[in-house]
Formats: sequence, C-alpha cells, structure tokens
Amino acid sequence: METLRPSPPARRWLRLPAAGAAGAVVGLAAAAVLLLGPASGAVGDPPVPPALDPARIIDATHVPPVLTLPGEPLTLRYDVYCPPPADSSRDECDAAGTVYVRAGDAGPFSALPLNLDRRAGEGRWAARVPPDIARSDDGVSYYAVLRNRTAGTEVTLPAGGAAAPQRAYAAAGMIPVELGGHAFGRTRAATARVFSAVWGDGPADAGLEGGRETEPVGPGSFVVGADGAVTVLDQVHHRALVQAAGAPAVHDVPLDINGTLADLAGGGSGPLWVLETAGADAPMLKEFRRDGSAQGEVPLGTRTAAQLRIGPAGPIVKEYPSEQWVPAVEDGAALGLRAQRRGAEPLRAVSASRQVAVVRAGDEVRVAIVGPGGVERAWRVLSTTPLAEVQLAEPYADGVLLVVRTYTDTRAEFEVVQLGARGPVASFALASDDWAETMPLSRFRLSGSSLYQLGSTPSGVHVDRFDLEVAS
Amino acid sequence: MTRRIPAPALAFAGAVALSMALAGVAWAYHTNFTGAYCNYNAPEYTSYFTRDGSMTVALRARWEGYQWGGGCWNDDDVDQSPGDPVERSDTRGEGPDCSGFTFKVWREDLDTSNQGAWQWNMLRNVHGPYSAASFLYGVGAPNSTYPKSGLIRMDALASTDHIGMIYARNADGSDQVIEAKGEAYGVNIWTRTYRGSSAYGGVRRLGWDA
Repeated sequence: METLRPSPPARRWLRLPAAGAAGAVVGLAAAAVLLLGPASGAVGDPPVPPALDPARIIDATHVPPVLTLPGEPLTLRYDVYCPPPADSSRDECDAAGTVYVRAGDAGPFSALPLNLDRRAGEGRWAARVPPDIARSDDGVSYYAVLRNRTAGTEVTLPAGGAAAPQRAYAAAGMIPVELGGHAFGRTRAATARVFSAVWGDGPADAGLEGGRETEPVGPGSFVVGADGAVTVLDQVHHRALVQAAGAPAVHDVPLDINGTLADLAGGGSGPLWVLETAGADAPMLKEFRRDGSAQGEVPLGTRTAAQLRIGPAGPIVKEYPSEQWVPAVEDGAALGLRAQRRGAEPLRAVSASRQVAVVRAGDEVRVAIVGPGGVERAWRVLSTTPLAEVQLAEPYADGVLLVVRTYTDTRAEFEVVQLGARGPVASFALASDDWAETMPLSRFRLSGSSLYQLGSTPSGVHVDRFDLEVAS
Repeated sequence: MTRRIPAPALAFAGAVALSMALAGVAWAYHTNFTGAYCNYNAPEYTSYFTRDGSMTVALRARWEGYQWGGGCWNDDDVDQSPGDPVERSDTRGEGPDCSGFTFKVWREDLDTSNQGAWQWNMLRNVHGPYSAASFLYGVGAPNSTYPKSGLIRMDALASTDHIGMIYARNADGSDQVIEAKGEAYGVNIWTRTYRGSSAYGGVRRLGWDA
C-alpha cells in the first residue's frame, strides 16, 4: 500500500518553514547570547566585582539601661561585629573595647576594659561599673570605643563620645504599676473615626505597597494638629492626605519623597517634616511648606533612624545604635553631621527643661520625667504578659501617658496606661489594628486630651480618636 | 536583477530582531548582574559557626539591592540594579530576597534534612529552598519555631510574606532588624516592631556553636 505523500508544491511549502524554523532557533539563541551575556547561568570564574575591603566593617550595638533602681548593679554590655582575621579558624572578629564611665554628667571619665562574656547570648562584651560610680544619685554618663584589633578600625558609641555620652539615671522611689496578666479581647472602642481611606490610587485613596514580594506597607505615619486636623503620610503616592476638622473631604499635598516607609512630624501652621529611612540618600530629613513645596533637606549622619519628633528647638530624630535623639535643625538652621553628633541627647526633650526617659527591660517598662535636677517622677510598669515596644510616652496631666504593646506568640494588643503622681489613673486596651506596616513607632499621637491611633484593615487605613477620661 | 534571500537567513534575522525588540523594554532594567558577576560555586563546609560570624555575613550585604528569588550580591554598598520591576524573579538583579538572605546568612544546606553549616560566597547565586512562610513554620532540619519573647540577635521574625533577622534589641522594646525588605529598600538594618505583631512568629536557626 502506498503511503500518502504531499504533492510537490505542498512539500516545498513544508521545506521552507523547516529551514526557516531552524534559522529562527539559531536566531533566538543568538539573541539570547546577546541579551543574557555569555556568563549567564554558566559555571566558571566571573569578572571580579568592585567589592570593598571587608575589614572596613565594624559595628557595635548596646542596650542602654537608661533608668536604674537604687543599689542596682550596673553592667554595660555591647556586641561588636567585624570580620574574623583571614588566617583564623574562628568565626568571630578579634575585638576589644573600653568603656569610659563617670558619675553624673561632669568630670573625668574612668576607663573600664570590656571583657568577653562567652556565656552571654547578647551583650558579650561587658564591663561592670564600680559601685561607687553606679550608686551615684546623679546616675552615670558613659561612652565606649570598640575595636577590630586585626584591621585597626574602631567605632565610638554613642558617636559623639565624651561630648555627647549616653546616660543612665538613678531613679529612687519609682512608683510601681502592676498590670498583671493581659486579658485579650477587651478592647476599647474609638470615640470617633477622624480619618479613613480605602486602599487604591484615587484622589482620596491611600497607597499600599505589597504583593507577593513583601508584606503590606501602608501610610508610614501621621500627625494631628491642635485644631484636630489629621495629616496622613501617603508615601506610596508621594503625598500627604489632610483631613481638616469638619471638612467634608480630604485634600492632598504632593511631596517630593522617595515612596518608601517614612516618618512625619510638624504640620499645622508650620512646615511638614519627613524622615526618609530607606533609599540611597537615607536617612534624610526633608522639610516642606504647607503647600508641599520643598524647603530644604538635611542629611543625617546616623546608621539607622526610626522616629521623628519636634523638640523645643526643632526636629529631632531617634537614631540607632546610639539610641539617642539627634537634632537635625536648630532654630531654623540645618546642622552638619558633627553638630548632630555633639548635640545628641539620650532622652527626648519635651520642653526646654524636661525630658522623658523610657526603657523596656523584659516584661517591665520604666518611665520617668527628668528635669534639670534629675529624675522628677518615675514609674515601674510590670506585666506578666510579655511587653514589646513602647509606642508612646508623653507627659500628660501630672504624669505620663504610656502606650505599650503586649503580646503572646499569636495575639497582640496595645495597653494604654495613664500614669499619675500617685500611680495609675486609668488604663485600657486597644486593638492592634496593624494589618499594614507603618513606621515602627508612629502608630499613636497625643493631642490635647485625646489619643489617636493609625490603624488599618485589608480594606483601608484609618485614624481613630480615643478621648481620655482625665483631662490634662 | 533581484536576488532572493534564503528563508533560513530571513528567519534568523527576524528572530534576532524580534527577540531584541521584545526585550527592549526589559533591557532598560536588565542590568544582568547575576549573569555578569554571579557563580554557582560550591559552598564551603563550616565546622564552627557563630551568631557573630553570621552577623558579618549579613553586614556585607548592607546597602546592596533586592531581587525577588535572588541570592547574589557583591559588597560595594551600591544597589547595582535599582528600579527592577517587582514580583519578577527573572530580572537578574543584584541582591537576595528576604528568605534567600536568611538562608545564606544562616549558612544553611540546600538539603532541608541537613542541619550543617555552609559558607556561601556572596557572589554565589543561591536562594535556598525556603520561603518566608516555610521559615515561619519551622520547615527544615536547621530551623525551628521559637517563642518570640525569647528571641535574641540572629534569631528571626517571620510572617507568611516576610522574614527579617534580629540585629539588636532596642531600649524602647523595638528591635533592629537586618533584612532584605523589597526592591525599593534593598538590604539594610531598620528598627521594626515585628516582635509584637501577631502576623509574625519567632524562628531560630539551630546548631550555633556560639
């Protein structure tokens, strides 16, 4: 039986595509080589990239004690990171360090060598402060110099050294506040919702960064003016959304920002300040007029910046690893990096003469109002449920309004505690409301006698107002 | 006199032109960092590995870029492939993503049943077998879920979408986290409040010598 064959013309048309297909395959391969480069996916020695000398790397971390109890032993602990010596079989750098300590905030420092505590999981480089210094009623001031002995590099912490040392304040008579175990699910409802926006790209919508690549990131921060106007930083859309008190709708203020997580301060009748924390130029402080036009920017000489607030003389930024508040602008003049370092303060100034001290240690938060003569009033808040970050600690009435996150491995809420001269005046819990990420420590603001919370759900972002029961 | 161009030559030229045209848009962002610089060299077994040592591995990635599904970077403190389209694992940019960064900093094995430690060169293009979610659930012999309140430096906080490693604790109760955050962020140390967020769980790399 004869096999059916195409007629000659048809066979010709088949031959042409076959030849063309071969050409196309070769062509595609050639294009791939042109586009991908010969090294794509190849095993072998790639060109040498312009890497920097790893020996330059040195960084140190330290958790300052901030507030100590009378007679409490004081050990200053640091971790230091740098590459191990090239010929070493060990994994760690060959580090050393000295901490310089003195009683109070004046006089010469005493040098204490930092010793490696191999049993410690954290703070492996430690120095115990001599009792005669640690027990000073004026507390202690100190700074440390950590060294990579192999490369000779070193880092000073805080960066201002002797000119702007870290402080630990002695706090006699701390008022104990026992929170006990947190009862989840008993949260307070808002007095009013003062701002809301759905996720989207419309004129009044809030931008959401997210998708498969990252978790949801929403507006980074907000401020509340004395007149009740709420300004939300919609950084994804490079703008601020302003809800004036009593206005029927929000209006937007375009801002020349890079669109990553940022903090916001100011507003009202003054300029808006934005702290950019990511991107090639970060950290960077930017100033905008009320119409959104750029007024100036200040590079910050800090490794990590996380909070922006307005101090008595201008904007101040919380920086790490020094854990100090760095002035960026004073009386309208931008400060250079050296002036920033030398002007850094361990506590946040809330007026020309008063500061707030706050530290969380384990399941305890210590809070104090510090004046020119030292600690004026202090509280020791204890919980049997773990405590995470302190979101807010602001002077309020004759004490402090404290907002701290309490959590388990599966649940979290915020505990709001009004601390008064005799102890806790009021406390209540708030839902976390944290579906989308914000700047880490900018979920709450206190304005007048109301607490405001920046919250979010899968449908949008909002600001809720909680009127406090005891007026300031 | 006209001369006919052979069909294979026409197809070859067409394919090249079409491919280049289609790639034109992509060309704008294809820095081809992985093609130019990265390798597939074998990792080096590490018999003694510490949290300090992993910190140094992590610090060499600071200021480098982010690549979804990636795991190769140099150490010049510059993102060599900024502005790549997001959610694309084929953009061949510099840097790791969050889970690839954790895998490499924790010096894990591609074999999920092996708890051993391997020093991956930073130019070795490797992501590893884990997603953020698999870290969250403690998948793999080297990884374990851990109570968040007990986490220390070089432990991690993971959600179903993201993972970052604890660099240091802060006095205010937040943490400094070293992480590959996203295309617009790259790799760096930021202050975060993942520990208190119910979306995040604690993860510990097992087997540290110190």
